[in-house]
Amino acid sequence: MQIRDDAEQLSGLSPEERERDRRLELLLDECVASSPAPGPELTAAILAARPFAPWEVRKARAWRVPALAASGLLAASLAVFLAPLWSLGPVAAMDLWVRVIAASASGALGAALAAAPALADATGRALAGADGLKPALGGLLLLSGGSLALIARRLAKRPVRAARG
Amino acid sequence: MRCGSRPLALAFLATTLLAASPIARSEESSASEIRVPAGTTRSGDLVALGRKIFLEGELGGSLVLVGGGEAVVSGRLGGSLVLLGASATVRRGARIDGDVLSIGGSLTFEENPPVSSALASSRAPSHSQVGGRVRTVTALEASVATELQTSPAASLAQWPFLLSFRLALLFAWLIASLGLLALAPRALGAAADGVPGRGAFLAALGATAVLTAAFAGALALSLLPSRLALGGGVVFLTALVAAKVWGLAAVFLALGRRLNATAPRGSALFGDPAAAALGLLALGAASLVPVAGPLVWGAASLVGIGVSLATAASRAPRVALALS
Repeated sequence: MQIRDDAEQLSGLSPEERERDRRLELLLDECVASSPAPGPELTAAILAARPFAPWEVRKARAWRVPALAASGLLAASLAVFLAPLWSLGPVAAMDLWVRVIAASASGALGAALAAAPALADATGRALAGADGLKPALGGLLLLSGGSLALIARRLAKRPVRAARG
Repeated sequence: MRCGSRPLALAFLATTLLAASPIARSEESSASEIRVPAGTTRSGDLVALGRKIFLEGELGGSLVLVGGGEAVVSGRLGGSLVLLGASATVRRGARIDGDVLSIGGSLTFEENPPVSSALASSRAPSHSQVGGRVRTVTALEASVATELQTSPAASLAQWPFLLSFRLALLFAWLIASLGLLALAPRALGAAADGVPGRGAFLAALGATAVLTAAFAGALALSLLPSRLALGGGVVFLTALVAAKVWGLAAVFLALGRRLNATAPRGSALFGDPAAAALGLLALGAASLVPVAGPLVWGAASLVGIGVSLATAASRAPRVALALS
């Protein structure tokens, strides 16, 4: 950015233009001097109306509700599970909860991974034996893939949405 | 299963149904059931869609049942028994030389207690009537229930444990979404900006992507060696799961922003982290409703995948600095 030199600019003006410029400056100074300063209410209203800024995720107070929600979900999960098992004792019941959750998450995934080769083999065998299926599949793939590519192309040309707030 | 693979699994199953139907018709087009009588031997594989199969004699190849079919095996099966959304009963004295794989169906052995758990699948030998291994993948809930059968809680009703597991899953979703928000607040916020008013479009986009992946997987399976096609399928599936995780976080955020739109600055409900938590709680609560819940969660998953694709395809915003 180039900073203009007012003295240099003014040297090229006629006396009438200089006088007009001086009067304009005076008028602006008067406007500024006579304008009421924004009150604290306006400042507060503007500050309160600001939308949430992405950098504000670094503030700890923004995470109070999420922490509460996470604690609530975990506590509810534990409570629903432990309520009928409380007679086993808290340690045994908690241990059972941990085991069940871990087994549910990892056991089914492990079984799915173990079954994947056999499933692929069986599906491939079923698909390979059907006459005319490969061209049909190819056509369907072209249709859905083409639609996807078309939508992606349109989205790429679409103007970016205005930011909210 | 509540996490990423359900839409893909359904699409994959649908593709498989489509794929298997011509074969089924070619076996016995007029009959509603296929029977291999005792004392007879049939070579090759037998593939059927939504039919009953009675295997009393001997089948040289594999038996593949898809979509609501039912098999009663009392003879000998030289290959594997594969059930995709189908059920089978293996009677006393029957013999299966290959593997048994059941996905989304039921499997009953009359000779011994049924093997129907994802956990049991990893323990070999699986069953005395089966030469290979028995692998069943039903749902995560099934593995919960089966795990409890070995515990003191086996006699209790199962629903509290399933609810507990779902709540734990929602907790995991919340942690994942908040983690993404903490790591990339601007990008996730921009993705959430694109959700309001475009839910149907984004769901259609997500469904198209899932279908494309399913068709690509099916075509790859029919053309390439199964191991190679499986590798490609894993890549597709991983990409879809990643898209779903990112997109659902954006959906939670968009929904939560609607819910906390009137929250004043300074209140606990103000801000994107609170919005993400509120959105997840709202959608999570809806997902617990019987019948409608899975549909709501499935639709949200498709919207999520659509959000990720739309975000990736959209032109990145350009910032222009205007100097005076």
